[in-house]
Amino acid sequence: MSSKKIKIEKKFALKEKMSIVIIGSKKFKQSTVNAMISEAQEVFDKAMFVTIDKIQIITTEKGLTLKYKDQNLLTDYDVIYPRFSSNDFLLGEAILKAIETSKAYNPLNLKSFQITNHKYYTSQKLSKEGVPGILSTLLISPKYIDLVIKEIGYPIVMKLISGFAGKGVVLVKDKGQMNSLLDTVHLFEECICMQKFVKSKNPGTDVRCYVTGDEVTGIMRIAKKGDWRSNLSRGGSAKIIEMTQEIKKIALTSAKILNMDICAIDLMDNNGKYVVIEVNFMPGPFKKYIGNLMIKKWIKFLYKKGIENKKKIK
Amino acid sequence: MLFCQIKTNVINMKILVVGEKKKNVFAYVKALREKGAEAKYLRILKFVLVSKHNKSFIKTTIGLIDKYDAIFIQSRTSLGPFIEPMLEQIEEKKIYSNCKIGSYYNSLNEPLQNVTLTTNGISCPNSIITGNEKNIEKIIERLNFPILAKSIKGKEIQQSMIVNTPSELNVFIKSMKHEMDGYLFKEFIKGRIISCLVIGNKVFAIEQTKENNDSQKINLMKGKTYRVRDDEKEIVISAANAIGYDIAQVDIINKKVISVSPIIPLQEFNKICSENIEKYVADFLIEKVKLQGEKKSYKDDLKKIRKAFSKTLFGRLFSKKKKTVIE
Ligand SMILES: Nc1ncnc2c1ncn2[C@@H]1O[C@H](COP(=O)(O)OP(=O)(O)O)[C@@H](O)[C@H]1O
Ligand SMILES: [Mg+2]
Repeated sequence: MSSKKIKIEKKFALKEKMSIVIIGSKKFKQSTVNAMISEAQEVFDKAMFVTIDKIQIITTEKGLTLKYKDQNLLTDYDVIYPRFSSNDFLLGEAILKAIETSKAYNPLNLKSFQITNHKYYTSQKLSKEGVPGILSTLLISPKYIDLVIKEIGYPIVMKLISGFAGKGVVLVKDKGQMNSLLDTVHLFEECICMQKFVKSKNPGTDVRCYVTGDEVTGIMRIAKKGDWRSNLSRGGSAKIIEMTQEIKKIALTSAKILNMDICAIDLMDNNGKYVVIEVNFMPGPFKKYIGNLMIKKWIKFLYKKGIENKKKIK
Repeated sequence: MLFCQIKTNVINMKILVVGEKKKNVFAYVKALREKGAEAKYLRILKFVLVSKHNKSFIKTTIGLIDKYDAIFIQSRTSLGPFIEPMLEQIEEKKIYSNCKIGSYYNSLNEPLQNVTLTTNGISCPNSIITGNEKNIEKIIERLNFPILAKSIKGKEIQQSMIVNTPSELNVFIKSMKHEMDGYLFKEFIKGRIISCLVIGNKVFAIEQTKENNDSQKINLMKGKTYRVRDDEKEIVISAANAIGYDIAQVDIINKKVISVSPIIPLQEFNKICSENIEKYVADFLIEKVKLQGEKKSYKDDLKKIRKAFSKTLFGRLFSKKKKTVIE
């Protein structure tokens, strides 16, 4: 009898009271959020979801608070998980900077938000450390495009640096196409990222690697017929795949360089070798194809890290 | 001092001045040349960043920039998405620049700048940043009127207005034609704005002769030269550094920082303060290159020593041993 009692007490002592706040994008997906919240409530003692626009950042002489209703998110939670997209850029940056002052565990950070929202910057940061990537360039004025062409040659993939979901990604086959395009880009007054067009053995497919701490989960995405872009939001399908060691290593190294504990690295096949195209700060969980698999992994991981972090700061 | 070859000789220094219009920045080139440095001007538009496997470089119409010891940047903050990855390369190549990584992202985003200053313990006007305009009276309860209200859409400030009452604030909110991504409300402090030019540890200042009334637009030409007090000096220097600049214009009212900008209004400061600001900038850059040179040559020396050592018999034995250990 007494041994049973001890066991129960032990279990009780081990279980720390843990709380999480998930700060979501203004344009969040209801089904994703519902699944995340119900999963978080199962694992954590307290779980809250709030969208980024409902938060107030208050700065006074006394310092900084991140207020939601009567709570200060910086002090009231053990784990803060920001899920921001490029739509949330301005507020997202400010909130991420604010979270840096919190003792709570945050799997992400301001710098990685800035870099992953910038296609060229991502490429520069990763390639320089030896991660296989795509030859990329960044330029301000189309007037000096020759400097770029000399490096890349046609065909070229032109991207708006902060585009997403395949928007603002254009394939330019030759000089003639380029000239007619440049007039339009000039209007944007944004800098232009140009990349070498990667010839894939399986065009229209890519591999998404979800990185959760040291774990990698791989998904193969197949584009809608006729589209060379494999974004699922443009239609298409996806399935879980076994990854080679090579792919796993690329994904883990990329996440480590950017200091991200939760993210997704998109790779594509370049003549038999995998290269990184993009890193996602707020990856969707592909619920339609793999159910709640990723959501469960994320929440479990956040709980584990939250406990580790709490021990550290004690 | 056997291995030390410090670059104290100004004659060998190569400094690139980067701007958008030659006439705005050529004074720096001249001042640098007068002091003996090899200086050149180049438009920022003539830069291209290239990223390849294991290496990245900055290409320009005059070739690579690697040979320069310092790059002085005077470019509008809206070019931040270009400047930031460029700064990273500049820092990596151990070239000195007046702007640090992250500075342009700070300047591009006023809410971020506010948070950055506050977390660095620099006093700014009390402010609230929010993405939601519902119950706005309640939200801004803790601020004192008048309030400077700004609306944010995408990556930019859309509109700004000074409001004196809750109803004026409501008018401002209702005047938005589109849905906004966020708002910034800042207490509007009455007083005389002091615009400070920070160059390293030196500060020049212009005080507005009138109190700011309905707008924070500053006309430097209508100001007069001002002697900064030590506490003000400390505030503006740490504000510039917190955002990531060695050289910047920092505006304050009643010792509170209201703006930090990397662009120097050279003509205005020269005229009102009767100075040759470009000379101070040139001196500062040259000084920085000297310091950088000391660091660089120290590291190069270490490399040389290691290389020389590895060529000795003992060194070879040592490195062999090390290899087997790793294997
Ligand atoms: N350099 C390239 N060469 C060939 N295909 C590319 C290249 N860059 C992108 N793609 C294709 O276009 C899709 C969208 O590009 P990506 O950079 O991921 O932008 P987004 O953020 O809009 O998804 C990718 O998933 C890939 O299939
Ligand atoms: Mg993509």
